[in-house]
Amino acid sequence: MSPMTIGLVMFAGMLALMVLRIPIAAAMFIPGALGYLAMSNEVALFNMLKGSAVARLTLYDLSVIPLFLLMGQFATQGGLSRALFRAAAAFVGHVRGGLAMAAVLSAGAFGAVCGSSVATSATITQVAYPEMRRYGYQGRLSTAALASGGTLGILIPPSVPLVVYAILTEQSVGKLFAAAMLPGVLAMLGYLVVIALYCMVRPELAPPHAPVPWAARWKALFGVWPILSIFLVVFGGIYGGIFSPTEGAAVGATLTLFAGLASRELNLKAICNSFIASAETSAMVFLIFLGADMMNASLSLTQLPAQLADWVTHLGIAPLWIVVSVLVFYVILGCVMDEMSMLLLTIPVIFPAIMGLDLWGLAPEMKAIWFGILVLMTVGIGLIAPPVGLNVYVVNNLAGDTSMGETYKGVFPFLAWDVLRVIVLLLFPTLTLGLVDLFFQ
Amino acid sequence: MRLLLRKITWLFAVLGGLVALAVGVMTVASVSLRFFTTQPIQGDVEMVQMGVAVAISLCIAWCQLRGANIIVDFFTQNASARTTRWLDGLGCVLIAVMYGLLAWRTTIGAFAVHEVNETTMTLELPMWWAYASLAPGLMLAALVALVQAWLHFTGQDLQTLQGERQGEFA
Amino acid sequence: QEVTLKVHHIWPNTAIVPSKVLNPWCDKIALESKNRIKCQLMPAMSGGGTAAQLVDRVKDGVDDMVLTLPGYTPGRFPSTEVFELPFMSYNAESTSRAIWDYTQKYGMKEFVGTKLLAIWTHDEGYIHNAKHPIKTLADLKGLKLRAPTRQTTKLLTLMGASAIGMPITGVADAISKGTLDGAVVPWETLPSFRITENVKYHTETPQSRPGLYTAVLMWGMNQAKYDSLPADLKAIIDRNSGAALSAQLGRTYDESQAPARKVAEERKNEVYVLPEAETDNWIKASAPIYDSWVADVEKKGLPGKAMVQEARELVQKYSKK
Ligand code: NA
Ligand code: NA
Repeated sequence: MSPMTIGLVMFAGMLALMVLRIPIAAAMFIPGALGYLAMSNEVALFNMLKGSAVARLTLYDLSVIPLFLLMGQFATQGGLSRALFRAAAAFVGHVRGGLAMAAVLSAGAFGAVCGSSVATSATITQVAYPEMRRYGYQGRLSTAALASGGTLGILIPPSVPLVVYAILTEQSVGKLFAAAMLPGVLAMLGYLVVIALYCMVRPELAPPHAPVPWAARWKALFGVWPILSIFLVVFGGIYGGIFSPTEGAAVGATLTLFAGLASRELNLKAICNSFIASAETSAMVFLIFLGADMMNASLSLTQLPAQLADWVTHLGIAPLWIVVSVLVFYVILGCVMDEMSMLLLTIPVIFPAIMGLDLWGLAPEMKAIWFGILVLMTVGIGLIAPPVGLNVYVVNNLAGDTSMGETYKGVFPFLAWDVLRVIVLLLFPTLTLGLVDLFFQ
Repeated sequence: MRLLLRKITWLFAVLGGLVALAVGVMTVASVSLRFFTTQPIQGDVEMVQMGVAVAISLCIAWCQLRGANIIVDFFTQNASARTTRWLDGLGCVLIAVMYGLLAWRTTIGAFAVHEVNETTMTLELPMWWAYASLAPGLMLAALVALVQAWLHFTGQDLQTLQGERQGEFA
Repeated sequence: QEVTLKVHHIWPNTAIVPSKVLNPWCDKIALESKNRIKCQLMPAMSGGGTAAQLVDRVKDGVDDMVLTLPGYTPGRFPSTEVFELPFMSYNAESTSRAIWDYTQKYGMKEFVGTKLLAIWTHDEGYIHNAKHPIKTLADLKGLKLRAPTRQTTKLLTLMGASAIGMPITGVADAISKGTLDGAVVPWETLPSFRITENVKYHTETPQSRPGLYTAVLMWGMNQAKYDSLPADLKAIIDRNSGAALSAQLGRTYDESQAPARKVAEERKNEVYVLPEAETDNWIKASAPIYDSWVADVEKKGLPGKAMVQEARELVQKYSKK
């Protein structure tokens, strides 16, 4: 068999295993290992495997993932999310759709200390959903706002998929976080507008209620200072050059632990729960990495990625349309596949091709960052788009009283804004790159 | 037996969390020292690298036990319970192969770097520590996956191993 | 018989080793063998693993050829490290010739299973910083400098600076944010990692004295792969490796100095050459590093003193010409 054929067979084998419910890590690892055997021999494969676990697990930049996950878990178990939602609800709860807006706002704020969208959705759903139901909000709006708001967990830094992208493309995590800032806030503001418009068209979705007195508002606002100051210290430190993203994650996790201990919500049991919850997610992410490493080592032997990159750059299609097709491809793939695995599998293949294109005359680093944010946005879409939106699953599961179909109906206006936002970011790279220029001269 | 396996796996994961937290606290100390005295803790980066690697390896078995590995279930939503059971059993076997291969080869790797006296850059810690420390977690994960496969194939309930469904999501 | 060599290395294709030496070398080999030897290039670690694992990968036959730094695996190549001691090298070409000869005598045990095609050093590394001009030893006190090797870490610490280890890619940002005051690197590294525009002062040692530091680099081939080649292909590899290839690599680094220095001068950065008398003070101050290195390798049963002596003599011999 030619290397090209081996590469394609490997890829097909992987897809087949995925369809058959095999864990994605193994679905990449096993065909990858067999492909490596076919390309070389068992001595090379076994010797290569001697170092692969150490190589992946000791990678310094990846240590931000467990640390940021730990920080998010301490914030969850430490009750910081409740204070956030209370404060947001105190200020905007009384306008039409206000509690849904409060859910989005608190998801955005929580996303500023939590790097995972599933964790953000779950956390905010637990504090916000009962309140929304109490005030007679319909399940369709409530669950849709929570599922969409949950994507702010990754759209606003810190963000696990963005770290994964940074590692795969050898870009600076700090710069990518800076680039995500404005688009993330834009996403949040857009969701608020979507809720307002939605409630204008369908007022029965969200009955209004009396405003909270100002004294109570200030009191509720006071409750968010821990999370606010943690965010400021972590990101102030990262962009002020006091520490690296990994160090920032360590500082954040430690501070959040102390904040949780101080609020007396974080007892020994809650700390253990934080540990094992972060354990599940961290291990899951690293396992997919290990699977993808095996797959990519074999693919690089077959030289398939290099050939694809070469082919794409000589297609003669306008570069911007190639980016658009890649993004559309991601949205479609994201419909049936987990987004993280999608990145790990495709970025090593697609990224070199993108870097070969001339896009708005951007310098290579800026191009990589800009493309990364666009990819992140499509990951966000994949998390709420039917038929398989992970966030929708999580929120629906926790809500327990709304059908999946209802939620997907409710999600559509939010999706429309997501698509619109991708187009805007595609046409105006400054929105993404402005803050990078500002923070990194 | 299953309860014991579950307890050990839980202990590994909590230990992993503790190591990660310790690494975090050490980093905070190092950053503060660098900020106030210009001299950080020597070898802080190496400690983070080794610590996080061990921490993750200790968490893998728990991730496996809880069924937290991502699968694509879109195409098998309408499959019979029997089919699903067999496919999930196969999945456990395949991922056990992955864990087992990595555990075995990483152990061999430990011997290899030990033989040539490789050390880390700053603290000059023996490099084989990093390799050897990953093996226990990977081996436990392989064991858990094999037990799960056996439960799947014999049609037994996984709940006794996995524990009750939690309200929290990671 | 046709052979494809998997060549795995640490640099992107635009760096000087691949662009000026390795890639043309592959073309030359292909031409001389009438395309019976081809390189499959895996730049920038694209074949997986860590840079430190390359030496094992080539020994074990995972990769057929690797280009890397022995210093990534401390403790593993004790004998070649002698050239990374401070104030050893006058220029890269002569030191590369010296280290090739030296390794034939002292280093071959460390490269078992690997056929060494070349071993070389880069041009003299200097101190580049953003804070203040460094004209005496005292000026180093309290400066936060990125140290590239184990021995420079010891040297900087001994001289009162803080030696900080971090990947070279983060240095420019760290300097611009003040986390770092500067870096100890050869000239060529400055423009490619945008360090030139973030520093102001460059301190060189004079040509009449050995430079502050250098690092050792290696190009190895899997021994079994080499042994499996037919005689005529072996001859082609032999013809294109060894002392001459090492010297060529060193020369390539030497030639990279002037253009990179010019970038700094055009930016009106201040380039200061230490006077000979002051340099001698620095050399004297670095003596304890030699002593501890000799003690270290003697513990491993190597003739440390003789190795330093021989390395110095070889450098002298090739520097005179
Ligand atoms: Na986030
Ligand atoms: Na999806």
